[in-house]
Amino acid sequence: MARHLVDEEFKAAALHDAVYGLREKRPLSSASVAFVPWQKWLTLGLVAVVILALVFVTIPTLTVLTAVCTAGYIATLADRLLLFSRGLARDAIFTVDDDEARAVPEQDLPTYTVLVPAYNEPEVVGDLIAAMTAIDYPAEKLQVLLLLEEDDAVTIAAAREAGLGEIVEILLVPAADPRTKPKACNYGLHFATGDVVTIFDAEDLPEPLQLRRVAVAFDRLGDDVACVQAKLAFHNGTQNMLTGWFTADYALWFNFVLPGLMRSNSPIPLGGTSNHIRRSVFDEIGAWDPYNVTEDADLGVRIAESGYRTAVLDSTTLEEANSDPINWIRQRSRWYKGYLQTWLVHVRRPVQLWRGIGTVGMLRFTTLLAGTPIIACLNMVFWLITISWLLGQPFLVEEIFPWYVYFPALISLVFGNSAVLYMNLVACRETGNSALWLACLTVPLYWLMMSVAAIKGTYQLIRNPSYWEKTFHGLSS
Amino acid sequence: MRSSAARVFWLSCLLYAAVGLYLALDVAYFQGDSLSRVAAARSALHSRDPHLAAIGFVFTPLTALLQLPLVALSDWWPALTRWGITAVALSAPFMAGAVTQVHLFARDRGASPWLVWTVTALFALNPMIVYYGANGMSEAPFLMLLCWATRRLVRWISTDDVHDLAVAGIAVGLAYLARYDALAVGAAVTVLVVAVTRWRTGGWRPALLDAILVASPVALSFLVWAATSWLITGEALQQFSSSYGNAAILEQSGGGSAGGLAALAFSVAEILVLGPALPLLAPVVAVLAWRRRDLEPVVPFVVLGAVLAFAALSYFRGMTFPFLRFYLAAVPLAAMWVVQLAPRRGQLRARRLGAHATVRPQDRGSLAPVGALALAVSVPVTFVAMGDANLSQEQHALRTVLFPDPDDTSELRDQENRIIASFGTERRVADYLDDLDLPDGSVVMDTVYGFAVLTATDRPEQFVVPSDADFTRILNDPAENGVRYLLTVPNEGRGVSDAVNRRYPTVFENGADIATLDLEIPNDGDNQPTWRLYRIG
Repeated sequence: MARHLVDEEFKAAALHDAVYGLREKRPLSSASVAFVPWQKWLTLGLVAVVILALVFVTIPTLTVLTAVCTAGYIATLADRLLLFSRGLARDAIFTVDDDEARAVPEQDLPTYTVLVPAYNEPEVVGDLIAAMTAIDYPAEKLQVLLLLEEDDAVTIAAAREAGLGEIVEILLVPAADPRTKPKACNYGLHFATGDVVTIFDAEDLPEPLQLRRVAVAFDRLGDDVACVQAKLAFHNGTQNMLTGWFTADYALWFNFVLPGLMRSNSPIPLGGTSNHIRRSVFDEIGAWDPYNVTEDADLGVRIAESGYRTAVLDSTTLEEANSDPINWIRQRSRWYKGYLQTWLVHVRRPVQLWRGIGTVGMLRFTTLLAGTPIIACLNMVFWLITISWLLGQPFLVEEIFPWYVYFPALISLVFGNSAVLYMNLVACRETGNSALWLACLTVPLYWLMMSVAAIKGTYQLIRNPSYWEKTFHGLSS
Repeated sequence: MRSSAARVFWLSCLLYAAVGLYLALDVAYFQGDSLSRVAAARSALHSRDPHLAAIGFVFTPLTALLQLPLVALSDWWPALTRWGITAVALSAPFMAGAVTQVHLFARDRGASPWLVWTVTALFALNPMIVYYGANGMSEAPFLMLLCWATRRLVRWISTDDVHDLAVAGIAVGLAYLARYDALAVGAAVTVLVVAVTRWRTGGWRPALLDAILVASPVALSFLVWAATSWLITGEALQQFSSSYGNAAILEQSGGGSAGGLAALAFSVAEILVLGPALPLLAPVVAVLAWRRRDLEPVVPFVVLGAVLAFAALSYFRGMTFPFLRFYLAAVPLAAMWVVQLAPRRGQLRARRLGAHATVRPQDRGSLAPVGALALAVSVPVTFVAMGDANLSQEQHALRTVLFPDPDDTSELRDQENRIIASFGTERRVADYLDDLDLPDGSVVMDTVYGFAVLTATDRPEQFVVPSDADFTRILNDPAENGVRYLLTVPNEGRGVSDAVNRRYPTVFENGADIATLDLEIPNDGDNQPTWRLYRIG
């Protein structure tokens, strides 16, 4: 290790690989170009066709567009309900109980590397010390790498001052663009010694037995399980209405939708942290894409595409929910942009994707990664149409909603919104978040914020595909 | 377990469908409300102006909506609506569903096979259950949904499974779309859930969240139905405000109670003839439940008792009719309480046990044989009561269907014969008009009484009915709009609400100077009007 740190040549090679590795080895898997030429021309062509059609046959075109959107809504909603229902079974999530986790003898545990990327966040150093000391794992088998940018003087100073070096290794990532979390992690991977690698954010509070549970999970599940994703939840759900909504959102996603995806053998977009991955898999399928702003989701799809599986584990990592609306919108717009990037990357080779994840997997991957942001954008359009219809019942709305579009759209509006709201309520009940009942009932306001974020993210995908919206941490304290 | 439930479902479905087809095709005996739902579905699909809103907003839509797919076929096969077969096709499987739920309820209790099958059979063969499974009324879906909600809530008591809670809530929500009474059930169930969760968790927030989960489906049903009605007709609660609504019908046709003790006594009598075992069961179940610390018997009391209380209260306040079917919930209540005399046995399998799931205590001792005997005795009591004209206004004509007596010339027999003959005149009116081979939109009529003409005709397009968007315009100037006939009823009783009478109050008497009398058709049916067909001009 010490040798690596002084070996400038190794560092340069690691940095080059962290930034360009994926792009050079598997150019089509990299989001460094958002749209490859055929995607660009196809999109522009479609847009041109729609515009021409709108000019020459306005009403039929609008009718077709609303029909297509309605069909998309209903398909996505039906699939989400199915996933939720599958995930709601008690045994849908993979469970390792405490005794079992503690019982594994130290010599049978795999070596572990925890990557903790941080940038410009000196305030979370204290949290990190607490979290890492709490983890129940033999010290000689655990390597914790705190990844700091070389020029991030404040955080480096804070870490040194707190004596962080005693507990974790501080690894300085050479200053270079893109300054993204995946680049730092890719760089850290070159210094990782563990058979299993995971990422935590600096302010995360993983449940102490999580690593041991993962070890049992890898042991018990087959070799085709490349990744174990733990659940993420928030400790500040009751801080304000926004953190309440966000907590309900996560409760639904990690406790029910992800286990539902696992039970359906569908690609699982990984959460930003607490995904535990076999080291050998990185060597085979490549690591994180530094040009994709949701590199975790992208890696999750690549895992599925390569014939591996992801298991969802019943162990929770507590994080801090974004409590500031502007900051939240920045974060969410990045996620939406990243989902679209990921979708665009993986449909570049449709046949290969189809072989990897099958027809249902492909449809589901599309509703999940392209559907989520696009629907969030469209919501704004349809809300405005609904309001204008309620207020004035304009003739145009009647024209573009013939009965065979009108009734499905109405069902989707009433039943769809109620069903999603109801799923939030169930998720809060089952995760012991009954204090969030008001957040569940007012969640449409959250959807409004989602829609704003989606529009922002989609716009940014076109204007500035790899720009990374940094989320500020430490707002709860 | 699944296969036995499937057998119960198909056997009882077959039975109710067979009885329904016999009554419809052989006897030709119909319940007006059942036929009028068929007419609503038909006017939504096959009128001059087909649109879903034509289904109407006075009554909740479930029965008419679910009939749409079958009614759609009536263009090719008018017998489907003429004989009310689409309604039978709805009530039979729903009532079979209610039987299946009672069966599963007994299974969940862990009752021994003889009790499971005895209760299932006695419930399935209860004459009121058979008749309402066969006659196409909204009681069948309503009862099925209530039994479903009851069973899932009983499970929830020990599993704390959110599936059970949610399904119970959704069942009550759907029940509101079948009958308005479900609103009372929704309120009662919410109170029960709050109490249980508060007691179980010691916190108000979990209780509130569970209350929201169980109450929101019925709240949504209520809001959506009221909002739809308001958007389309301008009135949110037509049942109460419309000139075709319940309140107006009561005012026009009489039959509401004068209130007071007599009204209460009537309600009690109705409950007693449907559940003669209840006075015996109630105290025994209460004592046993207390000694066993068993909360389960509270659930049927709350869910089904809410319907009975609502019916009794609305009759007491003179808001509804003295109909036996409003107390139908007494039948499953008695059946379920007999099951709950038996000890709790075994644990319930749940998809997701809740945080406050409890291990189900295993009770001892059983009074179930006594209860089963009481239930067996109840069946003939109910059967006899159904033939009583005072207790059972809507069913007593069945006496004449089952035991005709041509020598009996009493007034009652005569009335029963007229009840059975009801809607035959309307079928002949439809046949007469069909034979005239009129163009579309030739005959103006209101469906207050005309619904049975609408179900019977081969060509619903020849009629102009109030659900047509241009109805008022055409009614104002029939001659100009190609109308050839006005089909009219006397301007009295419910005929007062007939739109043709409201526009031309003397039309039945003298044609109101716009039409000349072509034909008068006296009615064979009971409580059905004499028809007069007026020719325009």
